[in-house]
Amino acid sequence: MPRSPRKKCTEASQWPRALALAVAWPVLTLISSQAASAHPVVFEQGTAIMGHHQGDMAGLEIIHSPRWWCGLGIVGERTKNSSVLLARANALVWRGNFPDLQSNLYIGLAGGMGWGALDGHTHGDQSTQRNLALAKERSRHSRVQGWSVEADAEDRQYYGKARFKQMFKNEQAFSNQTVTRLGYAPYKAQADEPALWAMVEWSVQSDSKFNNQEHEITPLVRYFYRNMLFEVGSSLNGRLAFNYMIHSY
Amino acid sequence: MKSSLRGYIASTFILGGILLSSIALADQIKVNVNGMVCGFCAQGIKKKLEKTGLVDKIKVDLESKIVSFSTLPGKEFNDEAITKLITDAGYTVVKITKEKP
Repeated sequence: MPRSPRKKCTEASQWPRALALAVAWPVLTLISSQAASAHPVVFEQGTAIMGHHQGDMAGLEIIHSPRWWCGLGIVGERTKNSSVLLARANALVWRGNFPDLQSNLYIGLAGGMGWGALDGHTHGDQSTQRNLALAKERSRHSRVQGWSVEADAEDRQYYGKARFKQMFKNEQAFSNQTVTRLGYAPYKAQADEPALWAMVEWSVQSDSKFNNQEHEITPLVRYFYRNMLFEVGSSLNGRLAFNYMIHSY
Repeated sequence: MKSSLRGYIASTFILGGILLSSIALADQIKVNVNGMVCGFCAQGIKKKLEKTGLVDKIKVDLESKIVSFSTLPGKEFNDEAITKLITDAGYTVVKITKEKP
């Protein structure tokens, strides 16, 4: 049955939730992580460490869920020309629990500092001239903010996810990213069995005006068992990808 | 000598009786849950149940969508509390079945 997490709350638990939202969100101006495999929230009182690597891009994220509907954490990311360090807050605003399916809608906010050419492209090579211009920006730092919206649906055999993320530098949008994922499990794993998935990720990165779009398609193999998840793959552009996620147990 | 033997036998029966009665009080509980689709879901629910200190032998079956566990001897875990716990873990309780072993 679809349900809103907010409606199910008892009166007593609404105050901590409202307080958490009121305090965390304005303080954490933000963006969500690049980690396509990341879970925006973990289970209640759960903590997750997530890492992602693809080509010259790498990131590490630690997120903790004080309640099952929210996650608070820090994200560090580095590309060839830039780095960001962000505080992040995610909220599960809706969950549908069906007999064989779970679907979720998340929103995320993040904020922190960025260094270097944050609006530089992250996919593929740059021209020499562009790289020189980017190099000049490397030593500069800026306030970085962002927001994201994400929806997913999965059963034990099929998985789908779509996420849109927009990032701002000094209050001006400089990047849009859309990530879509589809997954298929060749067998339905039980709770205590290793699970294997084949995934395809399609990422579209563009500038603030949705120009200069860069597409990247990455087939991945996902393996998870107990509290650990690993993904390996390679984009059609030849960039190797490796993601992992470890939950507290 | 005879009286001490009698006392030993009697106390053995009494202790055994207490033990048996407390075992008999342990409930086998099965909860049908919607929204469980993976090992991480199972993990979240297991952790919540373990934290109560009221249950053991927790099993999550994704195929039948059933979470099963036993209450510890002498512990009470009512339907309302079970429903609240599973709901607070992010899932939906469909049915709760209790059995005395």
